[in-house]
Amino acid sequence: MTTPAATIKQFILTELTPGSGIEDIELDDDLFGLGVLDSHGIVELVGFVEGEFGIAVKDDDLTPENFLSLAQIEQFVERSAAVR
Amino acid sequence: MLDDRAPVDREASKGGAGHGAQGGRFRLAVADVRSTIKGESLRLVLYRARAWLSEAGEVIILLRTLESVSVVDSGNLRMKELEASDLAALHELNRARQTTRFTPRFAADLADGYRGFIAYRDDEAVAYYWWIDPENAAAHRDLKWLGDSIALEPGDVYGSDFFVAEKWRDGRTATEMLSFVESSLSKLGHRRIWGYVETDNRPARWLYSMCGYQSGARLQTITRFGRRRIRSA
Repeated sequence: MTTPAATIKQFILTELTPGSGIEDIELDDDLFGLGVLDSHGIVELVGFVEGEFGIAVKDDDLTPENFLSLAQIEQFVERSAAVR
Repeated sequence: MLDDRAPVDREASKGGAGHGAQGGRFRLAVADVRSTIKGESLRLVLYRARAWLSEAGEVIILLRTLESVSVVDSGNLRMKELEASDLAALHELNRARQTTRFTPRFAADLADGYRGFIAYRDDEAVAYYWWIDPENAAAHRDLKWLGDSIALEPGDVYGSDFFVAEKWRDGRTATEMLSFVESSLSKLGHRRIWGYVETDNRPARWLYSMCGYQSGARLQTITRFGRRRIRSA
């Protein structure tokens, strides 16, 4: 079974990193520090997460605690899905 | 500070006519209308007309302490303090975004003591950032409606109108520019940057939170006939 982190990673590597030289991302990598989640990338990612996992991301959810790494995004998705 | 929902600034939704004395305000408003009709799409014109007439909003006050400023490698970006000689390049940037109405405003702002930074890639202006120190703060259009929400002290600056050209938003331009702004202001002896961000401006909120800006008060605002004010604190 594919985990949320694997699904998100696939999206990032397919949609956000081409041309950047990034070929792989670890669970705890700082996605902002890598340049993956800039102000443009975060919007793309949130749209994907909402559509893929059927959750609503509020404006106030966009914090480093929720979106800094694949592991944190996965935890956020799981928490959001649990209260859905 | 963006309304195609992407930018790192939100000038398009601001009541931009609140500048200077009444006569100057009127002239700028006329210039706005002229440039709007000449250079902007119908969609933008209608959007701005609606926002000018009446628009509710919410902003979050931001504060950045400049004690731990790390300089990000600026790559191919050339950044400098904004001078009158940069206004032509700014005009081209605004023309590309169909917002030439800002050109006369920027020239007036420089004369009023506003200061800024500008970023170039090759000879093309790709980003800008405006700021003002306490000595000139009374002239700033934002600080008039923000009132007591931001009280600049010595060593503080108010930063505003941070804009990155759309085609450069999927890179590190915004981060590099913000880093340059912070390190430059720190070198000038400033200790804190105040600002605000629209609550629903996700790209900007993400950027500021990642760059160490603390979120403060949330303010409900209302814009009527181009004048923004706080509805409740």
